[in-house]
Amino acid sequence: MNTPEPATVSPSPPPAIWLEKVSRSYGEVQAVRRIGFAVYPGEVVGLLGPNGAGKTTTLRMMATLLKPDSGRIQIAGFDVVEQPLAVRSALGYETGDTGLYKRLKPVEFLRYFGRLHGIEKQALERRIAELVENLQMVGFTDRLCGNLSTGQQQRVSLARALLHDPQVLVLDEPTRGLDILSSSFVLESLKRAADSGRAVLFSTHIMSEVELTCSRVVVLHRGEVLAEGSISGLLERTGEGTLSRAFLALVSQRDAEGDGP
Amino acid sequence: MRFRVIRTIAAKELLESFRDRRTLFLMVFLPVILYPLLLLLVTQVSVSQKAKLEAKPSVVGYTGADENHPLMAILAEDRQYQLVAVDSPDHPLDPGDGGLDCLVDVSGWPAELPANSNAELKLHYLSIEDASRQARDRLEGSLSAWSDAEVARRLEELELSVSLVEPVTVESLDQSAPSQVGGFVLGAILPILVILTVILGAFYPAIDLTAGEKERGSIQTLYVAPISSFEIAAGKYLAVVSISMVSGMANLLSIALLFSHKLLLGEQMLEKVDFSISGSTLVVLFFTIFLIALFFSALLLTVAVLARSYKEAQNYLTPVMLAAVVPASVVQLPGFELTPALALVPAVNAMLLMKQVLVEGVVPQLLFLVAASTALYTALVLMGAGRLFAQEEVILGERGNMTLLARRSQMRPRRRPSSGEGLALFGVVLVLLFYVGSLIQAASPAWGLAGTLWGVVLIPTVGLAWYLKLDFRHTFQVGRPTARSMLAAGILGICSWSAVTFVSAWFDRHVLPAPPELAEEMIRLLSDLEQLGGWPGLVLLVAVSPAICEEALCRGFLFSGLRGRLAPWALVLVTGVLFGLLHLNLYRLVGTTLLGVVMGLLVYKSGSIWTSVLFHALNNGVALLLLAIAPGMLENEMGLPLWLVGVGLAGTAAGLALIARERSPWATNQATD
Repeated sequence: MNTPEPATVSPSPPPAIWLEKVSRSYGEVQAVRRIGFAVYPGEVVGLLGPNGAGKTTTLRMMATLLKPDSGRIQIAGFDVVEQPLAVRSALGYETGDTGLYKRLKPVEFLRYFGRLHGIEKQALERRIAELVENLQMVGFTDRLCGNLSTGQQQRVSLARALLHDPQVLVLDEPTRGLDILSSSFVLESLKRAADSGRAVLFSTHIMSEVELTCSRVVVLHRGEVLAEGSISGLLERTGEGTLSRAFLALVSQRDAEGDGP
Repeated sequence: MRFRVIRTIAAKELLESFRDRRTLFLMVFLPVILYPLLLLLVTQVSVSQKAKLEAKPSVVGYTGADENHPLMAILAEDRQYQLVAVDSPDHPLDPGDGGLDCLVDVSGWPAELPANSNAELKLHYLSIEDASRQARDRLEGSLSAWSDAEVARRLEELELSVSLVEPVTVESLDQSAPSQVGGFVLGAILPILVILTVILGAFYPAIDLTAGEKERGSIQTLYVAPISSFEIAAGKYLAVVSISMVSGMANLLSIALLFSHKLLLGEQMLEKVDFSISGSTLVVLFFTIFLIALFFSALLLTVAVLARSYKEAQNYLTPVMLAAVVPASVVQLPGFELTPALALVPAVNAMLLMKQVLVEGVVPQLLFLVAASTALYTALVLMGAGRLFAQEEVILGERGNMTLLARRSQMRPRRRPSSGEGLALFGVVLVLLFYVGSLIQAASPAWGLAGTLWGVVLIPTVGLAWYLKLDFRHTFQVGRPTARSMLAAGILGICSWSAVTFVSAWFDRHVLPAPPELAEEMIRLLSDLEQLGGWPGLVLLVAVSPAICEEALCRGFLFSGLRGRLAPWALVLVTGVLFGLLHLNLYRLVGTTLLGVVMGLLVYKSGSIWTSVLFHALNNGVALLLLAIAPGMLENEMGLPLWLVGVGLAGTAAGLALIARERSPWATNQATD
């Protein structure tokens, strides 16, 4: 392939997340078809789409959990297929159905992943203390993860994703199952992470979250990128007043095209 | 591989396991407290039962004489007996609870016995009742004492010496040291107990660390850390091995302590039997437990990682555990001793080593052989585990469900079966073969064999493929093979008997000698078949039918089902072993498995079932021909001219070289297929 390097295509700083013509299928089902987009440092981008649009597949490919059948994905300049370990070092990945170890305490849990990331002992303890402070985990660091509330678990999980100070954050429905207080806390944290120069991409189907948090959105439908751009751009393009309406308009328009002659 | 990472993972898994009550229960409570206590209880109860039985007099009924009969006079004096006169020899026995323990019919024994005549005594007893057997033993003792005295008396009357009728006196002196006797007893109990503890110790951690982590969703988190899947596998393996080893050793130690005390058997027994285990024996036993833990932890972990949930993993692991208990019980049988050949059989070798160490002490060469082969098998299993840990379908637990139980109208046409469907079909056919196949073959050898092949093997296979709406072309891989692969199949079909017979003969001689009846039965079967349909019928039945029916199952449905799940080498190996098992004959297992592997290789390399059909027909046909020339073949003796064997081996090598050069159509794009 003679695709130019991403650095030469992009306008200013090189993209932190970069996908090009990425396809992936499961057996006979095509989950994602030739998708491509980029996320830059300092941005919070929302990945929108109805159920089964291919969001989770896309995010998992970025996190090196799945391999793309074709196309290329780079995270912080590293290829997910060629340099998976470098990608994982540069990436904080987190999912809504949090994977905590029930029989570990939050601090033990964080220490474990800190060691796996190869963080120096003293630096690790400092970093954990910092995260406990920032994510307001002070009250429950001595309890086993299995005994925490959903909101508390989500904070531990987020702390784990931020632990190694990654340049890129990829999150799959980080607010799933959270009440409004907890979810706004999570979204605020994501915003802060972006303000400090990280690139953040997260999937959701709650439009209000996107309007509050995201500078740009990527809309996936039936495994393809339906639209990409700023929220105001989408509203303008569809002639709708709210993001929800714009989203519905885009999806039903494409469905009509797909079912037509 | 970074040891720091592996150690971190193992340490975390251990910490988590120790906080799990189940693990602690299986690791500490069962082996250290419960098993030894049970053992103690069982021994003491049986010892006291025996004592109780011995203290009680036997109730002996007698008929055909009165209490003045000389025998009755003797028995009445003996406090071991309580005599009861009954009116008929048919009086029912009711041993144990005050009823008759046994009955003597003295009608053949006149009260006045002439010096040169022989009296007859009938002793009625029940072999299934302990009390009755004891009464018999006592009576026999008393009678032989009386008999000896009577012989001595008669000889004395004739002024002859006793040595006239007793030219030799036998006195058996047990030369086994008390510690050897103890070792012998321990050798019978310890292996199965320790194996059970080691496996139970590994059971839950193996599930918890793989399927459990999948179910809780935390495995994704682990896989996005900058560590390799091999490091994850190694770390988890290290944790499982540690836990199972600790349970095994704790079990051994607590049993060793228990047996070395007089708690268990009382002073009297301890004079003859020494159960204490010496320090050096203990070290070797620990090492053996280490080997067993190494192997079974790898095995359980590998199987558990295939499961999606805790429950599914339990379903997978339970048969593995039961399968492990079988060799553990088999090695208890007399005659099973560690030999160099058996030292190469996984799992069995370590169990036999344990038995040998307890009874005879260590044979360093065998110890080394067991250690080396166990290390090798463990490494092989771990390599498989490492691959599984790297597979995204396995890790994310996303794979097809079994659709076997749905209605046909709800099925979508598919290209090939899933691995679960393949294995389910195989299991059903195996059961049918066992029950239906053997039944109809007993009724009529020829028609039974034909019915088994076509009815029990082929029809269910094709029927299921139809029911599941599978594409027959892909399911049975009926594509056209290349000329070269057909040539290879032809050459191998004609020649591989040489190598197979060679290996089977070695196995027969060194590992599991087949009973001679087996060969006789086979020859009788073949001649029966020949009488029915002559040579053409024989060829049709023994060569052509299996080639079609068995291949449709093994290299068709089963092969295409497993193809998506297994690496090529594992696919060929697994279908080969299953093909071997299909023959339901332990003595032919090695030979048939070998053939199965060659056929799997042919189909994998050529992408076409026709290669294995050709091979199978030719191989069976050639076997018939060779049997006609040299019937000794069946007893695993070559009995053939050496040059013929040489030609066969050369042909096998050539055929293998030919097929090795083929490029499998599935080698490149497994994902899109």
